[in-house]
Amino acid sequence: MEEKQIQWPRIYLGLMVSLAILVSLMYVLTLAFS
Amino acid sequence: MSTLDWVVLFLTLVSIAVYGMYKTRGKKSLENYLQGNKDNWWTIGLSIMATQASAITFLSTPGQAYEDGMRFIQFYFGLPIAMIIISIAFVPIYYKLKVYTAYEYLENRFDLKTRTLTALLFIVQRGLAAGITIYAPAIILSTLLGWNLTLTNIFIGVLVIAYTVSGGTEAVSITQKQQMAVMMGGMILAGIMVIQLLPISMKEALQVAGKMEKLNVVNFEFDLADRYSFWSGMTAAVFLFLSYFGTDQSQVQRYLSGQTLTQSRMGLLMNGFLKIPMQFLILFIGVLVFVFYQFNTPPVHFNQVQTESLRQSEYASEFGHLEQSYQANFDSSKQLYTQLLSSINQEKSETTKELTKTLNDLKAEQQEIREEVKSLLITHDPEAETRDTDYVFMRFVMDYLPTGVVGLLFAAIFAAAMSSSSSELNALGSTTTVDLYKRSIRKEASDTHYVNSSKLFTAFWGFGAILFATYASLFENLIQAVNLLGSLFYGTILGIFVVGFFIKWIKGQAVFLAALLSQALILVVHFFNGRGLFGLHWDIGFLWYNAIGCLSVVLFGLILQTGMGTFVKEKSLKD
Repeated sequence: MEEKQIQWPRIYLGLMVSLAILVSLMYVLTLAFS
Repeated sequence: MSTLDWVVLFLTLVSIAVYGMYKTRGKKSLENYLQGNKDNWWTIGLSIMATQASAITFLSTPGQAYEDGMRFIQFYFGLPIAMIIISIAFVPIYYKLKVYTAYEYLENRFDLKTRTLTALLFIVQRGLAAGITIYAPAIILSTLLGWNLTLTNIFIGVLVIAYTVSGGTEAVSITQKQQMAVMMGGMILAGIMVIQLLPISMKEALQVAGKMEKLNVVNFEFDLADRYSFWSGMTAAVFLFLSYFGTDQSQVQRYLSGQTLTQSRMGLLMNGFLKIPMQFLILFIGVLVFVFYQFNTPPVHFNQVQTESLRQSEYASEFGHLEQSYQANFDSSKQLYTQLLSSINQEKSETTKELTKTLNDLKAEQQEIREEVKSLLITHDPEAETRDTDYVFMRFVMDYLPTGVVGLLFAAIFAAAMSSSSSELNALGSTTTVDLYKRSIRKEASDTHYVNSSKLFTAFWGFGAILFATYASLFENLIQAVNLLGSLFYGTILGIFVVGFFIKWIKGQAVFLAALLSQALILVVHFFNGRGLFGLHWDIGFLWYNAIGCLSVVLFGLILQTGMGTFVKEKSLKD
């Protein structure tokens, strides 16, 4: 794998989106069982 | 523990250490000793995770969830953001300059004294933390297993020293793969077994946990004094993680052992993806243990050595009465839980509310009984350790999990202690050699000489850590102690790197003075936190020290550089 072949912005965006999804799911868990 | 457990425990730990030494035997160059065998991204990712996951993570975190719920997870929300920033701004520079340690960069950018100061700050902070990393499991495991504390310290310390000294960075990353497998395998197995032991369904377990405020995962309220909230995780914790992963040699050395820049970046991002789910799993197991103990009588105090000594003392009858009250309280709650679950199922919101309130009152009463037991422990022995949160998970493991699994989980805790200690000792040895010895004490010597010096310094820090572990009992909360130690120094270190990477205009003299001022400021803020000084009063969580330290280095640096610039200008005009 070469540095130039990797679409870093997409990976960074994917990581941020997965963080947002995780936080949302956890918030749903907090609200659903409070 | 049974014979099988002892076999599993010793075989796992010793075979990992021996395998590490065997695989990395033979003569090494300094580059090979300090940077390993050029790992791929997933080895780097596992190594980064194993370095951060200390025994504290596995001992205290489930206990923390048992007491305080899952809100601690918010502390990790800033981690993926920090991984991205480090991947973009920090790693390419380290690669470009081909450094062994992060602090080498500082001489390139500023001057020798800034590099030496930062390396010393790291050494002080990490040297102390290495002692706690060994002490944390030793104090708890020695109590649980009935071992002598000093011997437990020596057992962990000597095994780690053996393979870290002999094989260097390569031995650290090879053993960390197996240690991670033992840790995660053990925890996943424990999680499955708790679920099987629950007398209610998973959905009902979540309902019980939710009503007892254990599923308080995300809190969006902003409060500076609240250590764990969404906002502190997304702001203050980012500074801590930037500093820890970006400038702490025990982590930097992990990703500098990558085959290429790409592999190192991917290893960091793997940590960004997996860390929160991993912490969630550990905390969730703690919550499940809490639910389990709502249907099975929990010990009134989880440190059995303490309660046994109370039982043998003149306070035995008083303790017996407290145990009876505790049992009566438990019996009442257990009945109410059955009613609560049927009330939730039948959607009777008023009854659910009332039952939840009664259960919370009973829980408060239960807590009062536990506090009375702690007071009794102190009356019996003023030196007694009354905090029992760190014993919750392993007490449960010993009392309820089957033979063999108990040994595996003890091995997991020891493996966690060893994985983080080995990275710390490896980094301390490297920094002492590269940034102090090779740079300022003995500049010209053979490669073999520096490899031997690295081995000697690694061993020195290892034995120092064992010695420090003996005095670590002065600290009350293990997690807080390690994080606090980090937070006192990390902000300043990060500030120096931030100035280096992003504010090219600030030069060495200004950043050096700014770092000293910032460190003094942090110490003043810490020592007068909650007490105030000169009529000013503040009460902030220690996580914020990272942000204050970093920003104050930048601010002082800007002011000092401006002042110095003006001074130099005036001087040159006069001349």
